[in-house]
Amino acid sequence: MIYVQLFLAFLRVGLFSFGGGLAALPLIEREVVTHFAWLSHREFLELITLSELTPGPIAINSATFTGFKVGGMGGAVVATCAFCLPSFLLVLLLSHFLSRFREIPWVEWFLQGLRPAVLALLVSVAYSFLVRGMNSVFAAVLGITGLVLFVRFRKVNPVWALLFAGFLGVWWYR
Amino acid sequence: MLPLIKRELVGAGLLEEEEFIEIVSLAQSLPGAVAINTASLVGWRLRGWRGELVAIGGTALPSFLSIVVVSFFLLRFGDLPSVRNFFQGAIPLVAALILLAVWDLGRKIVTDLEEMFIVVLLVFLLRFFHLHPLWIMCLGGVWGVVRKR
Repeated sequence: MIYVQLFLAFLRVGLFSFGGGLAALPLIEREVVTHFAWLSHREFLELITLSELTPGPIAINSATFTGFKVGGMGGAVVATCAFCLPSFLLVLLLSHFLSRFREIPWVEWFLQGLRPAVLALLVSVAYSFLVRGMNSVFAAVLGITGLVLFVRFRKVNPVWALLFAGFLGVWWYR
Repeated sequence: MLPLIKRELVGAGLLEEEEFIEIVSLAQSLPGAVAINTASLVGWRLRGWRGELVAIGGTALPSFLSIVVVSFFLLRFGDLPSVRNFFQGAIPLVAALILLAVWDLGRKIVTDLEEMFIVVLLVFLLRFFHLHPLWIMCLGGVWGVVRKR
């Protein structure tokens, strides 16, 4: 039963997430935190942090992590495959007119209209992080320092910055 | 990520540069992860459905394996205070990264007051009326069509 639920949840995520990894997060949060309560809000933030630290698309990482947590290795496989399935099928089914479908004007308009929606989803993710992650003065100092650093030096490698901040956290909150 | 994919495919002579650009723009307009969609399209173009399976598997496998290893340890040791504290420290920086992504995307796509209004409205519907993200996308898409007609 858990496998079926995992399969359907991540099939929906794979089918309905437009606009890249971060924009998929509200949809994943809906399925995984709000609807099925497989992860707590805290674990969801930790999962996103882990995704920034490990290679690969954030949605794949969420599928594997959630699947592994609630269904072990089998759950991880089911959730990950379910997420990839729409990519596989859509290309297969639409392959004959895939390159032409974007030439239909209203398809192009619809896709352009998705961009403000994607931005709104990103703002919502940022909001969750600010509300739940910035819960102390130290966290606010780290966050603001990080923002200044990332804006000022675009080349800063986020992985190293996150690891450094993590170890600062270990030292500060000990 | 895209320069890496390009190097693997165009550099190895599997695809022409033009084909690559077309595939990537298509991959971005399909649902799902862009990397997986790119793999799917390239696999299909080169070797049909078998190529698709192999390419998707190859793209998903590294993140799958690394997350399985990481979650194995996290589920076992996640409640240790030092692990909690590590995340306490790292999460504000993830918040900074996401704010940066909001800023970058916003600067690119919000060019007039109407678009600004739509974004604010959608955020409002999402946060305070708990509208499903799918409805947010549909509303955005429909607005895109209505605006052009």
